[in-house]
Amino acid sequence: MSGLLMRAEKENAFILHQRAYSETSIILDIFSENFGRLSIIAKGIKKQNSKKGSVLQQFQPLLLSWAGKSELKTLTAAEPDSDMFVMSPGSMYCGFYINELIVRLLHQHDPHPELFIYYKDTLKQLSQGITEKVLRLFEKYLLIEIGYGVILDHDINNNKINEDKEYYYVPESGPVKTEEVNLEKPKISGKSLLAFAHENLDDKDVLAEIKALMRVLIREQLGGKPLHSRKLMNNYISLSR
Amino acid sequence: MAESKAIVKLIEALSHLPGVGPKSARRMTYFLLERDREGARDISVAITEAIEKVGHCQQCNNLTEYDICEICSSKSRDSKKLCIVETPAELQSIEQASIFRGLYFVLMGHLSPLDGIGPEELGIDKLEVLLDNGEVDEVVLATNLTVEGEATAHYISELVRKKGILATRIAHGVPVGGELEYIDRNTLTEAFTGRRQM
Repeated sequence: MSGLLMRAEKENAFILHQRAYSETSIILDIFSENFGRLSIIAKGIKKQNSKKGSVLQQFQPLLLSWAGKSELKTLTAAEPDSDMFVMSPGSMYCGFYINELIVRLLHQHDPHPELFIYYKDTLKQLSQGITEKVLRLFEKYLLIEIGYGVILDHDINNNKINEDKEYYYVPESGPVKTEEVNLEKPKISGKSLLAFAHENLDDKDVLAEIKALMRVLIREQLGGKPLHSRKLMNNYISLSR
Repeated sequence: MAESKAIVKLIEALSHLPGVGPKSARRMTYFLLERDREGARDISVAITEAIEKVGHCQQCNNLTEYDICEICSSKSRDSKKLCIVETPAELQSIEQASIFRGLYFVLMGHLSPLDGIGPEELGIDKLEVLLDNGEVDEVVLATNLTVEGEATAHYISELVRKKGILATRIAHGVPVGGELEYIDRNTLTEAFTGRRQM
């Protein structure tokens, strides 16, 4: 996609991932408010007197400027935005997980301004020590954003969800009462579906059911390739117990 | 006139060096062939020898000509202290500062789930074997001050703590000769959270 010079000034953005490019430069995979995911090269960043190096960290709200004609843009300025998020080790691993989801599920150059705001809020909550609940809601928003609805308030026959019934969740279609059919699909209670619809995830059992459901739905989208960050997060949790 | 095949090949070979593009590679090639053939021969011998002889230390992963590197096999080093670094170059920086007299373990990278690099890829199992030998009483985590470096340090610190060994992290904050006015917010935050009694 070469052509016109594209320039962005002080764009709200987060770094999803960075990798070394040459001796002193790095390539950033960023998630920006108005341009979505982009690759940007930050030149000379690893030099001893480069001030940008400490600014360019994952999970921190940044204002980035870039320019360039080709697919790979060049970073022209970087400064921290609002207050920085102080991530505990646990929240850092959760952060890797949502970053991996974004990298795997969003295409480059597709703007998702609403998801961006939600991503920022998610990181903020993670930095405040809220994890499970926030991750489930982020997964839900991400799936909705990529056009994959998560149906929670009615079943596939368009009947309202009954709090006292059990359901199967059929990916791509929605919930179906277990008394109506017999399927090899994840089971979930009506209570949990409704709680998730109302974003009320304080009940431990509800949270566990939602986690199992979202794991299946996310796996469908990823096409079978496992998430490295999830494995790492689980390793870390079992270590730190 | 087209360049000879051997010259083109040398230019391509030199372009593998970090920071060297085709233009500098050509300049180097012509310099070596026109003015310093002796030097060129030395380079070629040195590279061949290094490739053949240098491998990874079986104990710490550092680059060495031996099975066990000179640091690991040295009697004058403190085998109770183990310093974890990401790369051999970082190990060398610490050695040059001569502030640490213990042993090292080189991860050859850091945890990076988005690149598919987990604990196994970093040879954490090898590190565990080293810790289980029972000599080490302190592990100094000297991974980089990046998000991945921090995540790596925390991961290893949990593992180390489980074995009843002390885990410490190198301090971070204002660099020597630094003036507060010009220091970025992230570094200042680290400097204040890590302040110590005087």
